[in-house]
Amino acid sequence: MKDSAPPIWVSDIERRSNLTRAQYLIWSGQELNPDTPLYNMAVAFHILGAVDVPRFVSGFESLVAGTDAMRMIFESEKSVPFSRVLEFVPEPISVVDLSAEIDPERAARQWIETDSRAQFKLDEQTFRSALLGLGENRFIWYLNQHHLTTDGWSVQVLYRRMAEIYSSPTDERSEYPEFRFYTEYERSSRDTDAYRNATNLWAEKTAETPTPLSFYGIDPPTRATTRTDRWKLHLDFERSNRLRQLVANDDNSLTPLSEYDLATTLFLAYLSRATGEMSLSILTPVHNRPSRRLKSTAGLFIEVLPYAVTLDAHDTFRSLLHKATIESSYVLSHTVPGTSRAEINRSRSVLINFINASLGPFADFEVRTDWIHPGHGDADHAVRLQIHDFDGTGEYVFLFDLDAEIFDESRARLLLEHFELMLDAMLSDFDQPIAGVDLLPPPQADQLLKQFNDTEEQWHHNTILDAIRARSSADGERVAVEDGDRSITYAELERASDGLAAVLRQRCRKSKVRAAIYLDRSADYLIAVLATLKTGGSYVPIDTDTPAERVSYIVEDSGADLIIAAKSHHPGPSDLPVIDPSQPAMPEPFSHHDLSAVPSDPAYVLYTSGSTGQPKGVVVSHLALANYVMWAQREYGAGDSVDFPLYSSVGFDLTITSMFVPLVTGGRVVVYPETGEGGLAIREVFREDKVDVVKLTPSHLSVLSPNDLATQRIRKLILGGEDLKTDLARAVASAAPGLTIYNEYGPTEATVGCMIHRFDPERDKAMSVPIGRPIANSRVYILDHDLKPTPVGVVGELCIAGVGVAEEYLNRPELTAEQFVPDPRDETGGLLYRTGDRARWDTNGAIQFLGRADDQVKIRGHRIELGEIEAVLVGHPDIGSVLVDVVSAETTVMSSRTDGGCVRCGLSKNAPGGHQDASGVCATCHFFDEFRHHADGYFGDLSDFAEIFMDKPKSPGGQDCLMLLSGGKDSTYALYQLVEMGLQPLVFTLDNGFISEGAKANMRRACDDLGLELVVAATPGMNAMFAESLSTFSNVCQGCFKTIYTLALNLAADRGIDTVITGLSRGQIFETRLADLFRIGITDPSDVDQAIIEARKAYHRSGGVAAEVLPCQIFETEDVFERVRVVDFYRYVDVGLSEVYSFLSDRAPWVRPSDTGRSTNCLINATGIFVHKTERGYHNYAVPYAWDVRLGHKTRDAALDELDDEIDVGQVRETLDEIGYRMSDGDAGINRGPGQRLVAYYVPIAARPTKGELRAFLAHRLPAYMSPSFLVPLEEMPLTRNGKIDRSRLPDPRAQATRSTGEFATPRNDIERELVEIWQSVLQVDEIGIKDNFFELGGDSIINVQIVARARKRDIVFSPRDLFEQRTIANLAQVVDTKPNFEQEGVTESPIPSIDPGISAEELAGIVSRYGQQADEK
Amino acid sequence: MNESETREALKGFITSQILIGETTPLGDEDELLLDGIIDSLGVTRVIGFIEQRFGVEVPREEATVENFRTVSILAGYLSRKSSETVGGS
Repeated sequence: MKDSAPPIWVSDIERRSNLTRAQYLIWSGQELNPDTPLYNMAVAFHILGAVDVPRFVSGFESLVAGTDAMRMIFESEKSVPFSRVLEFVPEPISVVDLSAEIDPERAARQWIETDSRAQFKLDEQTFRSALLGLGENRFIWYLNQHHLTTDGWSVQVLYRRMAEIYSSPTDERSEYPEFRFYTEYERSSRDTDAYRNATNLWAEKTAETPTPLSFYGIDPPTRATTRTDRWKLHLDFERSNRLRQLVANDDNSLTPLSEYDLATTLFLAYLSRATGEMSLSILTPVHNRPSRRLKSTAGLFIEVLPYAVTLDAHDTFRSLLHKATIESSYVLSHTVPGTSRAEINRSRSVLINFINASLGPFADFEVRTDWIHPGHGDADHAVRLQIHDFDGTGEYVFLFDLDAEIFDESRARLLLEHFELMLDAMLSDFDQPIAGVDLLPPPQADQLLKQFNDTEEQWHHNTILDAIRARSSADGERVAVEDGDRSITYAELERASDGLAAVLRQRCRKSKVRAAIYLDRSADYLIAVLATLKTGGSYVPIDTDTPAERVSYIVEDSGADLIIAAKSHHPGPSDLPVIDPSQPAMPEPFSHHDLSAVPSDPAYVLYTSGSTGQPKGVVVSHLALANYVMWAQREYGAGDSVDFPLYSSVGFDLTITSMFVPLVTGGRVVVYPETGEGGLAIREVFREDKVDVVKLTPSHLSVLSPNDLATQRIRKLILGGEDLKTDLARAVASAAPGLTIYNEYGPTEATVGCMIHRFDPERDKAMSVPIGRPIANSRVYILDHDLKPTPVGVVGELCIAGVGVAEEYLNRPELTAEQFVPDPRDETGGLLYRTGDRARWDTNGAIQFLGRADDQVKIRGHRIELGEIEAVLVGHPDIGSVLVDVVSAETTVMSSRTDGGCVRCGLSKNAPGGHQDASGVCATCHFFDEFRHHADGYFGDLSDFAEIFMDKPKSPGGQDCLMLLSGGKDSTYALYQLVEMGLQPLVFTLDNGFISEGAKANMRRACDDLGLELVVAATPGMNAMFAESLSTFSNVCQGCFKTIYTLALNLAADRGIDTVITGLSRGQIFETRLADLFRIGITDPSDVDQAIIEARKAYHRSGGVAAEVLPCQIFETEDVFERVRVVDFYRYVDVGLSEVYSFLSDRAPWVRPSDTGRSTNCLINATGIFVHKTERGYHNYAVPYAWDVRLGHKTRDAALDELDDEIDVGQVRETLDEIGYRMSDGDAGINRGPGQRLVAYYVPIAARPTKGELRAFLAHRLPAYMSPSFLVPLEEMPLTRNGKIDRSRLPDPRAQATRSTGEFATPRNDIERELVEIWQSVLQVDEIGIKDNFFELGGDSIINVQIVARARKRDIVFSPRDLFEQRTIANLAQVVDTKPNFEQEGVTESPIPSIDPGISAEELAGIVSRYGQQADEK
Repeated sequence: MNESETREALKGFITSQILIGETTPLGDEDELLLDGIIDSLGVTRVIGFIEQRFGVEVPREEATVENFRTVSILAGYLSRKSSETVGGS
């Protein structure tokens, strides 16, 4: 910055210094946590010998006198911290005699613990020391320093100094190298290229946000805390020595394999296995004492820097050591003093610190060193590993400082156990693959693999037919099925199914009939099922709303012998016999003796979504079915007869429970017929309330109201089919405390359910309800890729073995072999089913379910293989490649990288002015090239700014101006500069109800610091302003700006202040003030100023919501516009982002808020961004950021990165509700409910099928639940280097979907067709309907002129004004003139239009609407 | 870049970036390692500097006392390395 303020705050006379970067890092961390001793570095040196106390005390006094770091204190003026070195510290050490205590050791421990956790008053003293006497030959020298003045190496320096002074005392005051020298060096070096390069490099590396590491199933705590527990692993000499030998230098390289690299290798190996992350990014402090002088200087030198290594699956300890060595060389070779930052320290949660310091004996006494933990640490760090051997015993001490929120005792012990197992593995075989290290010790293995799975049981019945027949024999007159008016007893059910079974056998002339059952839920359906089973055969359920092609496929694939269907509603032509169960012809009586089913025979074949584009049939045996049903009747019926509703679709294995369990208990099946729309039958079940137990999915449950749940009869709910969220279960439990909720887990391939958990609202606190324990005769394992059991806490794949495991996928031997593998733990050769579900053991020995691992997804309870949808779409003749994915409706990264932004400024194509020439440069950049020289005349420097205030009287309140402060970085910087210039501003800010606490605190601190009056305005009209802003501009910022300007001008007028200062950045000034004026030829600065004033008048007089909810009376006359001027501070100051940050970090008490995401001040920002991107298709910061890039204040990459906002859609929805704004829905309505949605990306071949055509095509081939919500055509699939589809580069479907919000209307005549073509080519939008709005498509004045020019070439004549007014092709076509018109001038086809310099109403409107557009500081 | 320029560049870097606060000027023949003028952090930074400034990669096995002993020896090593690179291309 050319006008950088002179460093007047450094005063040699007062011996004040600014902080080094490392000190600032610590200082700001302490500021954030003022009440915790997180940076206390306390050491207890246990001295075994008779210390001469007076000699020690006087020695210590001379140590302090000679060490400036120890006399350093920290003060702040206007909240800018600086250090000062005291001349003298009185009584620096206390002597505490504990020898008379009963237990001196214990008394000493208590004393030390108390002192080590006591805060320092940094402006008085930054260390405390004591000599504790425990006995004649037993002393502790205790030294507690604030980290601001010390580090691990420094402790060594002080210890050695003290030992030397004690051994050979002199009267002379010792002179040691001063820390103050380094302070000055570090500051002066900031002007070097080495410093700048390293700073940039670390900033870039920090910006590569790593995947947060998750330890042992613990989600990051919602509140960061500093509470930390220290856990110690003391390695004996033998193991320590073996570690050292691993890196014993085999050559004479100066960059040897170091113990540090080895420790890091071990730690990374542990991290990769404990977190499952292969790409690890952590922190490491570097000692940063390159010279001999610095090595003997006490004080804080370390730089904390990022350190990243990516493991691959085959890495051994040795190969990882190689990678670690390369990375540590990289880090070290870029360690330049002053390059660490608080942001770096906060950006990663894991740190390794290898302290290479050893202390040696004290005088002649043996010493043992204890590093005391103060119970706190950096709030952002989950794990800090410190390794030291202070005593030089050759034994390593590993100290793990673990965030107490994340690591309770059991998890901390897991960490230690796994780390030590990893250590031992490394020692035993350095060349073994890290992925193969066994982290499950035998007792745990026994508990998790054997005891947990000890589930063997015998049942009375091996088939459900036996069990049902037993019920019938016991009491045949009981009602078995209730189907509307029809009621069937057990005896009737038996008879009817016997009869139908005989018909089936007769028609097929064989036993073991396989019957496809295509019937609505009904008594007949149940009869058909039982009849089929009674032939010894198996049934294939097919829902009656299944598309015909899928029905044919299933019938054929299953090898069905016949179809059971209603004559009135059968699935269409087939060669197979179709039998209508309601019209049974009674052949010969059926005899039970003919029953030929054996338990291992298939009972049913159930089709689920398959990856080949066709569903796959899961073959389940009688034995598996009976095992589940018998277990379920005991679990849910407990010996009583229970009634279940049959309401869910028959092709869903959840329905098995509702069909068979009541029948084996002697209860009733109550049929609820199809209602046409899924989900409604369940409400009927609860409304009627005439069953005992209901099996349902969480999605079902979530549609029920508390009213529905107030049941008398229904006592038990069995949840299955989806992950059950604890919040949902808890809500139900509190609405209906009498209900028992079971969570049943199990894929179709493991027969309905294989694990069970009874929900306990007291105990179950995790995000999802646990899935519990295996059911009878089932075994469950969590295994890694090699089918090895994963350690406790670590994610693996849930695998199932036992009776319930299905036989196979019918006709799919390869798939069967992949998913059903021999169970390595089963000597009888049983199969293991790999579910593809992710899970881990928690420390209480329960399984935590973590969702699907692969592309097989469950949406609203339906399992869907994405590949199946892809395969169907690829089957369309006009579609090339396809990718189907799932988008979460909860959070989304609204990526802007995929928009194919301008190669120079990054502006997305679909933003105004973003259309590009052949080389990818946007029109606005071309415009800028041509017009930037005008800006030079407009922008000024500080002297121009000062001139504004020259000889200007102050307001009656003594103020020079009113400063608009947002709390963000730019306006804070501007405020400080104003004060620095000697101005006294009145500070104005708007509390829009969403300003972050962090930003508010920043504003309060800044104003306190500068001694300025802060006016915080608030208005009840804010939400109305937001709603208007959203509906007019699709963002929230406009509403805020208008409110700010309105209230601020009122305040200024009221207080007699004649100047309002804004913190608009240069990019924003260009965007909102200059660009449009330059375009229309207004370039002279005074003309520009005048035009802006006119625009401002129009802006404030334009009515709208502001006129109703804000005080707008003052705008009725010219007075306020003449009396109060608005001055943009950055018109006169050109300063880069890094300079702003650097200034704030040095000078201002400004702390980047942690609660706003990327924005530095406002929480509603995300809502505005989301709505804008959804409704307009591009980011509302895209335009101002592109200006920042053009003006050289940001790099293109940085700007694009900043536009990748991760947005919590749930929160956005809440905010919108609060404001009362209804967003226009996208293609499928993104805000209709939580959960996940399918998106299909596809590349059309020649002819482009319309989305309507595709939807029809899909509807014929897939069930509705598999139909993608979003269809996104692409020119080509983005590929990775490996030739795979690069998902990260796929566009956000929600942004795409809203390109045409209304219905898509095709052109009706030639003119409309031509206009569509012209719009498409200019706007670069593929699909344009004649009712699409020009502005919503990204149109602006430049595009307008281009369209006009191109149209004229085709003899279609209209003015830019016509287009602005008509806005759609349909309307425009009504007003165009189709005769050639050569008279009109001034419109040419050029990216830079030259327009009549007169300012038209439309253009003024455009400027006015953008006048207030002060993009919020981000 | 001739050897004397290389020596000056090396000395400039070591003096400004490593010998922070040292008052004795660095001589071409001063024992960098034996006298503890630079440590392994320093060596790593010098290697980083060499790679960046001279475009010469220093393999681990060549980062030895023999090659890094003094500024003048190091400059000699670098000039041999550069000629190898030129010769090889």
